[in-house]
Amino acid sequence: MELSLIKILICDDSLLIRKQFKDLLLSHGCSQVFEATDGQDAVDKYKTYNPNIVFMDIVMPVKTGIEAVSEILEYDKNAKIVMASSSGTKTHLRKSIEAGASDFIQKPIDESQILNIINNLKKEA
Amino acid sequence: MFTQLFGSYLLNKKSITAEQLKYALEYQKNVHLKLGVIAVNSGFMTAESVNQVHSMQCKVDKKFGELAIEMGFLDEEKLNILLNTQKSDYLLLGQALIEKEYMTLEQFGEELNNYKKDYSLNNEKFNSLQNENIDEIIDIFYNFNDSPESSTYKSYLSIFIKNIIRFIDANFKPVEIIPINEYKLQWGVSQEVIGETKLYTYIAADEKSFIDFAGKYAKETYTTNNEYAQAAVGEFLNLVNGLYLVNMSNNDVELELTPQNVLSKVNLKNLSEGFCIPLDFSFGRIDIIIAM
Repeated sequence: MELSLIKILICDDSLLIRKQFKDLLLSHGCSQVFEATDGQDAVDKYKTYNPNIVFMDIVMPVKTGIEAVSEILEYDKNAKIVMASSSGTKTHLRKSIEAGASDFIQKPIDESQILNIINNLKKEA
Repeated sequence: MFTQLFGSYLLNKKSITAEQLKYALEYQKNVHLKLGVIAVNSGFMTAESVNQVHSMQCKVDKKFGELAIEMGFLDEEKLNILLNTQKSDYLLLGQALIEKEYMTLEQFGEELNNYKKDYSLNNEKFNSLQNENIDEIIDIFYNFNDSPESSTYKSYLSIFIKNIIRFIDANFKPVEIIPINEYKLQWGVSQEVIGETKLYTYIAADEKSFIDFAGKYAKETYTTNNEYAQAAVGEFLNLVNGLYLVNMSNNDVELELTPQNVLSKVNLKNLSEGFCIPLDFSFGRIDIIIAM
């Protein structure tokens, strides 16, 4: 699948992180990048856009990222969700896996790590 | 960080003036470390023997190390250790002070010895400081007035400082910490660590320093205190706190974070075991506030 066709949802309450993600992805040929500002917003935007991949923070207002993962997977059991958090504690890792997240990346975001994930998705699709 | 601390030490002892320290810190960027300064620092030679070698150098065209061996002050092994000594910022500061004639080599050697004595530093600890071992530096310089939370605060501050060096600027001047019960905050962000232990954390500053700090972290130039600048400072605090949680988790203590908040013109009150840890950067002062 062409990068420009891959739909990506960035879910983070930090405006800076969303911008950094978006700038990175747009500069590498992605064009369909959507944003959510909290866990509930992520669930709602997922249902609206049906993205190919979600990057999900954990600590957020309204609804945590882990709660949002569970809800999204209830809606779409094939959803691909990568947790992107600065707090990769044992509990967060365990809860993320239990909720059904497919990967976990530690912030600050590493450009090559994100691009690898997107490129792998491109090959899979 | 150690260079700044040693500079502050000389300043506090009135061995040099603030103006001289400022010039020396600028000047050190352009000087090369001399073997004689390293030799005194390592304890292999006294200032007097270094001066004897220097006098001899005026008479014969030989390198410092070569002459020091001939005169019996060094052997090959010690010379190699000196030659392999990595570039050390605080020694460069010392050399700058000497070259600017703010102090003599003897005075510098004496100040180093006083410093070791004042902080009860054995050679091993002193080497850790020279190697910028942040955990060691924090352990020695931040005692948190023997607060019962001292060890928690030290491990937190260690992560904080390491990320300041990594993401903001390594050239900051740590200032004496202040025990506080209240704090008048102009601009800041806050986040709580919750769980077995509760920790309130803040980054606070005047508006200009807040904006500049944000710009450093985001690698952007912010001219106004906009949402991006505020998000950047919040994200830096979140990053530090996240790493603190990972650290605690590795020690089998599981903690959680609340979302970070942006604060403006508020008086923080009833800060239990509260401390303000000021850091002076070229762009202004940033206060780290921690409380239980």
